Amino acid sequence: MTVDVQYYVLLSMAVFCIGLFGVLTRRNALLFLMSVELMLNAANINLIAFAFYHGNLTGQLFALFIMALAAAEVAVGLGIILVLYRNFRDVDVTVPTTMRW
Amino acid sequence: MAATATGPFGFAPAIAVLPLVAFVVTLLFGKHLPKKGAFPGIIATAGSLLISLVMFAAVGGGNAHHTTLYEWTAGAATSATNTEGVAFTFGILIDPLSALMLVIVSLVALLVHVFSLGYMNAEGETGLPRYYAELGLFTFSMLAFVFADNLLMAFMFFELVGLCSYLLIGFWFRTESAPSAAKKAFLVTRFGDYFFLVGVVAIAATFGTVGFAGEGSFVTAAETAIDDGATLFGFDAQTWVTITGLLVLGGVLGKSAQFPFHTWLPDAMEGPTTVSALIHAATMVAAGVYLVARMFGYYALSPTALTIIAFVGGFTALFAATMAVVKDDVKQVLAYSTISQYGYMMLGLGVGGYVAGVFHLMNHAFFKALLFLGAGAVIILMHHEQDMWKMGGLKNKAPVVYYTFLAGALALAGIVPFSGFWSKDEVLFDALAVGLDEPVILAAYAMGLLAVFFTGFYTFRMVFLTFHGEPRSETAEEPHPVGWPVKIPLLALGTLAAVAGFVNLAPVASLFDLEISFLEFWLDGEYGSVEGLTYHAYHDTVAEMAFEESYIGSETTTMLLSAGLSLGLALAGAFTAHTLYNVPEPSRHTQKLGGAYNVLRSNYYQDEYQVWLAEGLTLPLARAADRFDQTVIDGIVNGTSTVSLFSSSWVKRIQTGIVTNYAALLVAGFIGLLLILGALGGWFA
Amino acid sequence: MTTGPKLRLGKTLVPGLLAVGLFGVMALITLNTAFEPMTTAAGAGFPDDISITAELGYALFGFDELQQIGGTEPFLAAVLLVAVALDAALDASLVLAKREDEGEPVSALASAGEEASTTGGPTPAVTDGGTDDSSAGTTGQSADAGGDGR
Repeated sequence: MTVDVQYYVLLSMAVFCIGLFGVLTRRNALLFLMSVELMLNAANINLIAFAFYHGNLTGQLFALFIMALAAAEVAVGLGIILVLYRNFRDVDVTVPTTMRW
Repeated sequence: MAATATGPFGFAPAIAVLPLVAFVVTLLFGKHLPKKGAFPGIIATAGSLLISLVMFAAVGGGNAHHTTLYEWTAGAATSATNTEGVAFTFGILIDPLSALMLVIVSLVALLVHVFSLGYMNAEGETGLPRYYAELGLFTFSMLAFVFADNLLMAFMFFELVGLCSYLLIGFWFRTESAPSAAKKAFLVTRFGDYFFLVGVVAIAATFGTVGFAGEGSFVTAAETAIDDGATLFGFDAQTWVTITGLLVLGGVLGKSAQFPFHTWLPDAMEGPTTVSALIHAATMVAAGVYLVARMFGYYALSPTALTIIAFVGGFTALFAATMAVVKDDVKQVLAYSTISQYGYMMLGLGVGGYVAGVFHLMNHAFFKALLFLGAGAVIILMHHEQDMWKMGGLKNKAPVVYYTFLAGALALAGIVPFSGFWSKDEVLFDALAVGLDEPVILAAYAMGLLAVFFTGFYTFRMVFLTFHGEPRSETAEEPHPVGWPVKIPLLALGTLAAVAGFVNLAPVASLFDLEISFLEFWLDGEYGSVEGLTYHAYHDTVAEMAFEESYIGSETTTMLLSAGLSLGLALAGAFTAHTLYNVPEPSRHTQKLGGAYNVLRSNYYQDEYQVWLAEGLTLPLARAADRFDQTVIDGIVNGTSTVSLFSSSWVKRIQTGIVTNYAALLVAGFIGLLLILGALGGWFA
Repeated sequence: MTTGPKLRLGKTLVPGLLAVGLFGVMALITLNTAFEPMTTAAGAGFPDDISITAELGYALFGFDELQQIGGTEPFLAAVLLVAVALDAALDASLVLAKREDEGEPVSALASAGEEASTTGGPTPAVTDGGTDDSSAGTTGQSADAGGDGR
């Protein structure tokens, strides 16, 4: 007995929204990055589920690429956090407010 | 665009252009010319006189001239009488009235130019090129005004003569009083000209044309409108004609110094006496009355306008004559006399006495110019002293001046057989004939009649104080001699003052049944004429629309009665002056009038009243308007920007710089988008 | 005695309501969509005897002929692009991590970095969030040096 695909979609959306919750409420930059990772992985779950639904491997391949890019993005993101810390002495994302009027 | 004129009429534009050329030449080269620019002016006005006489003869030979020289703009608006389009042009109209006036103006201008050689050059005045240039500009504008064929062109030159008057009154601009008098003259006449302009626009908008003559004139359009019973701008046609006529009358009253716009003329005596003779006696102030005569067919359609003209004229005649009685400066007496005599002309025109009004205009031009030039000669004699109480006994020392001045005074007072008698008597007769039916006109007649007494009195008071008796100062005992440039114009004008009346001896013609009222024939179109601009056409319109004439007994009886009355009163006034002032040592009798003397001396406080109008009424209004502009209008403009700045300073707070806030805004927008798309696409069924 | 990190609650969680709202909207959308049930007859699932990893590998490098599950798209171009992207990310992170130490740039993977970084003096910042004193500075140095030896 297989699970119907809408539950997979629901799961993926739940994980996405949890990640979004983290993006919106977390102050620490590293935890912010982790929440972004969660969102990416939610997308992965969605892709895998639909790959199975259609019997097509495209979805799984796409998920692989997403993982690779997520890794690249984390690398760059950590570099940015380093520079942020150097300039603002804190990894709190609410501290740098210079991108405004 | 050139005039398609035949024969001598082709030279018509040159009448005005010659003085204009003299203006330019004198302006540019005056300093280097001998006599500082007098000769271009003299030559130009002599040329204008010559051509005007040729025009006069041509009209006398049975032709008239009406042509458009240049159309400077045309519009496609439809007027209230459903005429399509309106065109504004420059054109020339030479008919009996304008030919007569051209001769008068150019003659007086020539004589004044010649007199200036003796008054300005010989007395060593400075700034003469400017003086002669301004005289040339004035002569150009006045002549162009006279032969203007439409109301707008007339308005333009009306304003231009006002400008020249300002320039010439303020000729000695380094004094304190002359520039102030110039400004006063300009402002008061300009105030009247505001109404004139509104009237011109109203006429153009109503009838689609501003021409004076012919089929395309606003006069015929107005007659048609009244005959058809049309409604113009919400008013009955005749009422609208009255309203527009009264608006134009505003400019006339200002320029011809009638009550209440008369206050500028006595102050205009600050200018040189030659200027006073040319502008403020014979020509510029005549422009207003000439305009009424020019548009007479229009005014004839409206009895209300005519009554107002007549009443204002009669009232001003008396009003100014009373003020002239107490003046001590010879030029001031003449200034008030001018105001008073123009009142007679307005009275004459207002009762439909077209010939009488024009006749008096002609005579007055000659005798008043003569009197002013005579006063100028007296001023030269008295080393520029103008107070009559310092003169006396000049008649033996300057006989030419005395006799010509006396001729002018007799004409002014209206003593037979001098010219003033015939024209003033005809004005009063016409007023009486209409006044027997209309009480308002009768009142105007009574005022005019009373003014005859005062006129006789102040004129002879002036003559006796100036020329008779013992000299009352050293300058009077040894006067400065006058040269020929002074004597020739005086002699010319003196002759005219004596004989000009013989062109229209109406009482004699009616008594002995002779056909000698030449001016009436002239204006009636017996020689040349333009259709509709003749005396009988006007007379018919007045009789139909406005006034009926009635007589005491027969026409001749009434005429003799009124002539006798006016002559009697004039002689009575002269006799009173003779008794009081023709003594070796006259005393200041007018001061015995007490309170009345003070009122008259202060010109019935009209000057103070007008200053109060400006300071007490207009200035607070202007301040209120300024405050409204600053607060409300500027406030709205500034308020718009303030609102924008204020709201933007609120909206910019969305950009907090915190990235998570931006993310939150993104998510909120995304949710909104999903909801909208879902609702439209039926996802939430 | 240290205290563990405390979870921030209260006002900062208010934007999180948006995330909850988004979940609600999307759940509503999903539950209103008609999906076919996942049965083998509808084309769901993969055949039992095939190695999925091998299939993935073939698809990655564009070997269409060796595939047994049909309909999979070739990803050769994507592989190459992602390789380039990963490479770029690596270089970027190295560049970002470079810091200046009294005018001397200090970076990971530098050959002469160890001598240059032992000139002492306080460093403006340390990467592990430690305090700004010489001991932490040395720790920071050694962390960098450790990176060298890797």
